[in-house]
Amino acid sequence: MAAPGLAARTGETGLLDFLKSDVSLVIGIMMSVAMLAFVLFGGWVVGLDPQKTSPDVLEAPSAMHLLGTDSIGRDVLARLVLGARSSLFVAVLATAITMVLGIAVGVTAGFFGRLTDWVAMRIVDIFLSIPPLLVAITILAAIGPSIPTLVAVLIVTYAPQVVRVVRASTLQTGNRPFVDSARISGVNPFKIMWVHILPNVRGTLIVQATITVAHMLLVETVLSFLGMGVQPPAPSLGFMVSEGRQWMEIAPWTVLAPGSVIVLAVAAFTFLGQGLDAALAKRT
Amino acid sequence: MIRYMLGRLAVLPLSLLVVSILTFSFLHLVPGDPVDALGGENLSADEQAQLRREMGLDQPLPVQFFYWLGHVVQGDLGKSIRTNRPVLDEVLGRLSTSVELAVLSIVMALFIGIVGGAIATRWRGTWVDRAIMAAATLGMSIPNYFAATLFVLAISLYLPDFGVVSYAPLSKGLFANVKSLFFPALSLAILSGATFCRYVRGATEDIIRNADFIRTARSKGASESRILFRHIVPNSLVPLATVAGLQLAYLIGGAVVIESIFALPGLGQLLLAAIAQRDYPIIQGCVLLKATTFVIINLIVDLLYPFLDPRVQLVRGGK
Amino acid sequence: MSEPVLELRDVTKRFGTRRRPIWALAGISLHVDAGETLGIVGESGSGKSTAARIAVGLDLPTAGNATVMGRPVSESGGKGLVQMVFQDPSASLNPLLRIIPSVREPLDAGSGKTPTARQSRALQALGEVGLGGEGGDRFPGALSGGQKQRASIARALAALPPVIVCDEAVTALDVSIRAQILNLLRGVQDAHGTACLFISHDLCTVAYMSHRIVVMYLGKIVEVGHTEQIFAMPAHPYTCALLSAVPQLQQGRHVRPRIRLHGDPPSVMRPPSGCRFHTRCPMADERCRSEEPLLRQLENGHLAACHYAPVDEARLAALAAARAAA
Repeated sequence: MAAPGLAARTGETGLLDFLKSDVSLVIGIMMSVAMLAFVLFGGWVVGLDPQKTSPDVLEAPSAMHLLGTDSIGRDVLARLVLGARSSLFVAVLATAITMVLGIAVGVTAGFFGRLTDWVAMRIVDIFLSIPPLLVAITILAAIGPSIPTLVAVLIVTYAPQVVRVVRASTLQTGNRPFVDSARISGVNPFKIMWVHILPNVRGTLIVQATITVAHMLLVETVLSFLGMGVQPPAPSLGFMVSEGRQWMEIAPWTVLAPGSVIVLAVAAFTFLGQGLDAALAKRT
Repeated sequence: MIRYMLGRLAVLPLSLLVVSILTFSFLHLVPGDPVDALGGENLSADEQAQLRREMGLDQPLPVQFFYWLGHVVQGDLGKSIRTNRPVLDEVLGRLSTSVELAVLSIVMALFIGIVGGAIATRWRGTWVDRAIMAAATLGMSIPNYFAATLFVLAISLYLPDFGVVSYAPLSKGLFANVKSLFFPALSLAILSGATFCRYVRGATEDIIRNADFIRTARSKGASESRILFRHIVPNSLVPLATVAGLQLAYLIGGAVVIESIFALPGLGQLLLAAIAQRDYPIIQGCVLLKATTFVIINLIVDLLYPFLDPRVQLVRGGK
Repeated sequence: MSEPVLELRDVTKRFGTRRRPIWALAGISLHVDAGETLGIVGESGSGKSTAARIAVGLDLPTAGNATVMGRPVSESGGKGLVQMVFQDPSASLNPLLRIIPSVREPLDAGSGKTPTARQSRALQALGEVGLGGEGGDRFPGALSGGQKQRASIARALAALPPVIVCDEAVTALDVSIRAQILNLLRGVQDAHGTACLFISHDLCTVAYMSHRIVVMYLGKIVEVGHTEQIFAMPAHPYTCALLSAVPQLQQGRHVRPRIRLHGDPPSVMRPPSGCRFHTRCPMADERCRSEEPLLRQLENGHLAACHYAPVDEARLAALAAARAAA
């Protein structure tokens, strides 16, 4: 059964009806599911070793190599699956941590207000006034690229934005009388945040999470395009585009294939986020 | 109002401070001694020691920071390891290219965004509207390096005569300049333009839903287009202005990836080359300049915002 | 005389900044005795809602203090000393919680009883407001406005606080159910001996519920007294005007001449000099414009803040009519 508040408030609308209520949402769900299937089962379906080099260099797509081979004979499709997997992994991991951090800070700042809020917002303002990609590149160039650094950099550059969004929602919800009633009763502030505020902003949080995944994915591919992401020989989508550029006139698939996967992956989550936002707005 | 502006201004020195700390500590984040990083192995032991003293490396970090800051404020950002020219000269020399690219791409993006948004609004609710919005979402998902790569590919395959024109600065004429920057700017403009398009459409939707004056105008017999262009679209530009401003702020510091793909002599390319060559003073200079311009332009946008009509609601999706 | 259960002493509340202050409350004092209902009536901007919030500890006074059972209000959380019933029934309950947990919340937060005891007390409270049976298992979305407000009342009384604050508790309800809810409130109050601070802009409602009434205007108390006193002899021009506008209160009594107020309602940000009411008062004079009247005792328990209180209603009406004609 759907979430209780949902049924109670809107009558008999179930989860399925909700998911069908907006075109973007449907598209987003289909694309995301397809992407997930691709990443999880693609390797098994294709059955070729992504790291195995061969003398069939820069071959056009064929029956054996559905998307052709790259400059050292590796199967492009198999590499795509692996590359997509690692990009998605990094993006989702970074998003999860960013959301937890952003929610913790955002709800606390919004709920306690006054000094806590002022300090938090000033820090957020400072972070937001510094160009994020630049920071990412600088730090990665200095310390050296590695997955933990990559994830950390992604988190640091986007968390302030999440804090802002979460705080705005918290302020809206926190003003409602039932929160005041809990305050009067002397309920522990953290319990108030957990029981009253968070559940009532979960729509916003979910939308923000999907937007964040799309963003992290995009940034991760830019960084790996510059050679600062997942290091070779492990495949990464952005780097595949960068590599493929040298050969693109004679073997365009080496660039088109990874690039298209990137676009589709980012678009999947973007549609998902926009769709959820629209569907939630329709519901109220 | 004044309070708001003062509040914004107060953040400025803090942001600049954080930027300078970031830039400064960069050199110290690199494994190894900064002197080595600066190419010190080529110097004799005496020269190394002297360099160390000059840089104040025997002093505690905060003191070093203020030394460095002092130099920076006077315009001395050190010398490039590769060319031995002052960093400031190198960096400023590249600034105009990046600015030209930034301005051109914002203009294109605004065009795409406003026209797309206006058309979608005109046929709101129909397949045209939905198609444009879907295209915009797709456009937002195209990383600019991929768009750039596609353009280069398309040009080489279908327009070999056009070629990827090498960069022509303004001094050689506006047309030549724009021609050389056309595709780079377009690569950047696709992502921004798509975002702007959604913004405009969202803003027009909010306006249409909430405004009675549209009904009044219609009842007076004004045509759809007239209403659209006279009233709705101009009002929707307000939230767009802030977003566009921010984008401009970001691009002025050099669109790192695009410049490298199209071999444009801008700040971004300088930065990448410096990273590859470990030319740390240049890296510091680029980062400092880019971050500073970003902070300042950001501030200007923030300060201007209340002067634009504050009654216009923020666009959903403009989170 | 025993101590009042709720007391506000010289409470002042400033919003805004030091440069541009908004004095929502400019020094008010009131008290609620055990078992009694004190009504606060005033128009918007009078500060009555601010007083309510300070009484429950949601806002802190800029100056002065608020106490419940002798203790500062800010310490009362978790001790179940004061509770509030809010204006908007839909926003008063967490839409994602069933009714029982919402009603039980004040008990969970501090009563120190066992979970079973708390649950049974919550059920009992729901029964008292007429939501017994499976009312408690439902979500707020399935309840009507009146039912939601009953649930809010049950929550407010669950921990049996000595005093509750009702801020426009029936204003958002259909007129037809208002009487029900009001009677319910009176009933449970009497049953438990709970005191009440009852706030509304509607004089009828306040009169029906309250033993004593406080009339507020622009952050100040202009008159206070027992309900009968206020009705028999409204002393302040503002009170007179309020009373004259309500036909229902005039049954069986001499018909009050209608007193219409003129002049713009002043802004809270720049309160008038002297008596705050002078801009709209039909009988304001030079003294009123320059000197602020203090609350003066007229008879036992009846106070008014007017240089000329008690005011002759007929004369006031005549002056008001003359002003209107001018």
